[in-house]
Amino acid sequence: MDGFAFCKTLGGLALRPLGNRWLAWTGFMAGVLLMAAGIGRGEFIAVLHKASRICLECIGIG
Amino acid sequence: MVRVGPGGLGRIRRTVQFAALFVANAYWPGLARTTIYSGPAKGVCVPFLNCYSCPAALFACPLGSLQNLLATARILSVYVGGMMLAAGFAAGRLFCGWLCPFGLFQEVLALPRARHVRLPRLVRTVKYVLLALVVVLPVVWVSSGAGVPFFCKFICPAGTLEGGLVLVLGRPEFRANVGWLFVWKVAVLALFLALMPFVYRVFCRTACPLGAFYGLFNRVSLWRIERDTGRCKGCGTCVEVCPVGVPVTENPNHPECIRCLECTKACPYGALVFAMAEVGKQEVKLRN
Repeated sequence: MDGFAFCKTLGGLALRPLGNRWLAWTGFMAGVLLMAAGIGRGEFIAVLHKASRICLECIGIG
Repeated sequence: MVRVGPGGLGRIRRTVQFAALFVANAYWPGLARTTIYSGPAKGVCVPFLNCYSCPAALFACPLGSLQNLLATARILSVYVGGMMLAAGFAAGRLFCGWLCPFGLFQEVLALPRARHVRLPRLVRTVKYVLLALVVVLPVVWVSSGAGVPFFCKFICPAGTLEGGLVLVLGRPEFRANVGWLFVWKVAVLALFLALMPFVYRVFCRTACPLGAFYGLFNRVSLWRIERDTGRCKGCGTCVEVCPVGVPVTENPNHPECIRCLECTKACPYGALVFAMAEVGKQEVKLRN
């Protein structure tokens, strides 16, 4: 059994109530929570601030 | 030789790709005035590569945002990272195959024989190296007090095509500041443009860090391709139609799979399905 399979089996036992897609569901939910946490700490505004200006380096001028 | 016709799933996918292109780049006044949109939608990251310095772009590119926040504020954005994680766990590289405008651009340019070109493993590994550097280099590569968004600055051909060329051609003050960096970026774009007709989605398969990231989730994503071993006769039709050379019979959720789903349509025995499960319920399977 490789490392990935071991972790999957271990996690599967712990998260059996979530069904056979436990890893996908927990990962997805973790992503959504992280996204919400990021918005909560003002990262939406930070991205808005960055993306609202022409990135000179990105267009090859910087 | 088995071919998937332009109808059915292929036509739906192409329609969705064009819809994504026009929705993500719906700020038409920006093209006319060669300015960029700066309204509230720009804070929203799309789950695919779409340069926010493109005059028509309505939303932000996750890679550009991630790198620029890392480079300038030393923030590993949990908002952008969480969005990428949620997208990856939801459907893996489905976003590459169905939404990415640069992927669509490459598909349009590809000649029919490009679909049968197989790439060596070493070449395909480059994108994982770039993925690691996307996170590491903006922090450690410091130039004049701020980090460098290295992928956007030195490689991203989507940014050169969507933002760089349009703005440099449209704005005299940018034209006056063109230097070696712009020449380098145009050379990178030209290299990929030269390869696109002959190698299907050459950038996605060799150098896209976002595709590399989503590919890591193909195996474990909520929506994934299921192979019914009872129905599969091992005829190899799926492998023949796969445009990116995935060994579908061995691993239908290979990290290289862009989830175009042509294999699910082509399988004569209906052994391949794109399926998802709901918590605590039986699997819901979608057949084409």
